[in-house]
Amino acid sequence: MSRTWFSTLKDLLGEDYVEPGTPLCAGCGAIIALRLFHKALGGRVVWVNAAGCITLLIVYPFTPLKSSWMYTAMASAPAGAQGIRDALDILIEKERIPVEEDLKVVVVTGDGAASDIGLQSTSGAIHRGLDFYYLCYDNEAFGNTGFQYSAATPYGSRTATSPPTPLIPEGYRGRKKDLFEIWRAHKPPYVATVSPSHPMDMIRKIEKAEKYKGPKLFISISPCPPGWIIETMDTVKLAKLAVETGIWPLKEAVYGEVHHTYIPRRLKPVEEYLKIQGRFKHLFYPVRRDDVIAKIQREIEEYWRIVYDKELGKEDSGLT
Amino acid sequence: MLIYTRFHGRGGQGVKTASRILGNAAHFEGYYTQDFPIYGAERRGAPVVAFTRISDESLPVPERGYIFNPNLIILADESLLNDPIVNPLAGLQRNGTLFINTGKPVDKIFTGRDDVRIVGEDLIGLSLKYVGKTILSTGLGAVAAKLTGLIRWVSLEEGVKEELLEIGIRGEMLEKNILLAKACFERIYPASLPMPKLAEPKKIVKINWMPPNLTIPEIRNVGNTRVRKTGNWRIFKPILNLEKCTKCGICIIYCPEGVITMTSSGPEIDYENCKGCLICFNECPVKAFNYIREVEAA
Repeated sequence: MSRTWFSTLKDLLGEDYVEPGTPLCAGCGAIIALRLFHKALGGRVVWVNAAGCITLLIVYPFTPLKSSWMYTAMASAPAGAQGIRDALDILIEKERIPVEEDLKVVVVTGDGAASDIGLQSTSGAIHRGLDFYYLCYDNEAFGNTGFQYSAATPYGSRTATSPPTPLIPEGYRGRKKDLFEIWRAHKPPYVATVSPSHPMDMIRKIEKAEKYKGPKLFISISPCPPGWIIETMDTVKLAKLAVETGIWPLKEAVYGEVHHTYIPRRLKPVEEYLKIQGRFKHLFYPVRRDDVIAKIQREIEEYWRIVYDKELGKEDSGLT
Repeated sequence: MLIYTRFHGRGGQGVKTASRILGNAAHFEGYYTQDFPIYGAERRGAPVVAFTRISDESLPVPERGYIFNPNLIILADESLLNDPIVNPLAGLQRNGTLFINTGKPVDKIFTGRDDVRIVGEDLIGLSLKYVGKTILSTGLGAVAAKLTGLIRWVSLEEGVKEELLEIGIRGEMLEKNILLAKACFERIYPASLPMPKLAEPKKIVKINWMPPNLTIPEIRNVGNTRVRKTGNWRIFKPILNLEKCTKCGICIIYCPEGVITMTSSGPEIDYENCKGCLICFNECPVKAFNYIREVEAA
């Protein structure tokens, strides 16, 4: 099987497997991640999707992909992947198709399907050791239906179902479910978080994951211009800020062993990330909610303090 | 007296809000009203439709459901005019009014119907001038209110305030939107609208002609969304200055649509499918991109 290795950004300019003309919003972060993911995996891929924004990529008879696609119900994408994987294995075993015609089975879902509705089928697939990839694009709400909150919505976010009101001025009161830790608890061969703003980091992780047989899971942050109420041009900038403020750590876990691939030497204040998003505007206007901002900042610092202690040693700490 | 208004636009332009502003304003003026959008996937750029019905005591809103026989159509995006799927002029009554949001003279962009009054105004330009953003909802609502010929400025102002406060727009932004509404309200002249024909149940639905390559599906066609040409979603057009460009390829990697390709002379933008998100403009390390408004570019 021919294989492309990516060592610099220039290597990423090669063949593209996602054509233009998609019906997704202008400036969508998920499609940047999907495009890079597809480049790294190559063309021999079958995508299994659960209902979400990305479902609209393919509305018969149109497809932007040069690879195959199967659409499943919201809860059952990993189960669909199991069926395809088994079918491919049997066909190869019976020599009905040559080994070179094997396909990589990739599940792509949003954060709603990944952390709410489809969590049990993912858990089952990891438990069975299914050999597949999983890409979750996390826009931190149910974006396709008008931005209602999901289990991945962070504290303080405005969504259609958690607007800031006089009684609940901070917006969404829950906490973001830590999908990375839930997946990691199953001890699969590979789990990682990625960001479309850091393409080389993403490509390296996918290349590393390819060596393992079994579940390989990725969560990508996916800024959503209509839901996050941002300018379409700020998608990549926000993904970058999320990494640099520490709210979106870039990490990987091999058989449950966590390692951070990007450790910011000095965390930017999370305010920089929050204040350009319309969904957090109520924290700054009309009254500045220092308590809410400080709470978000404190949680980030608590997270990184442990990381710095473990992976850098105290003297190198980026916290002041 | 009946006024059936249909709003056509793209997701994110504020078509639903516009229909609510018109409904509110008519309500404050003392009329019976209905306003509602078509429910669907709410994506930026996708075609959306919203409706407002207005009536008085002589005939309290006699119908429910989508409006198929409008006497007033508000088109937020001129690129939808010739779209065979959206078909925005369907059912427009004789002597009705069509409003097109355009920076060009209306007789240049549309000559298809000579039995309707066509009004044009550059609402994007006005909203950039008064609000500083391309938000069309207030302008569309104000234009629609004036075109009905029934609504006074005081009722419209109240309608705009009520709707925008409900979606969380306050303070300076609200003031700017009211200035924009006033400017739109003063630029448009109303005309009397014909009585809409109440719908009869139809058995045969007319389907518009579409080219065969769009209507006959071929399952082995891969990557065929390219023919859908999403270039008409653009409000701003990115322009690359090749002299400044270092050919690093960062714009190609970050372009969500994948419309930038590397050629021997440098990156090239496929304007037929570029949605104008301007990520290339924002992420270029040497600032080789610039952008202009689509109307100026044409």
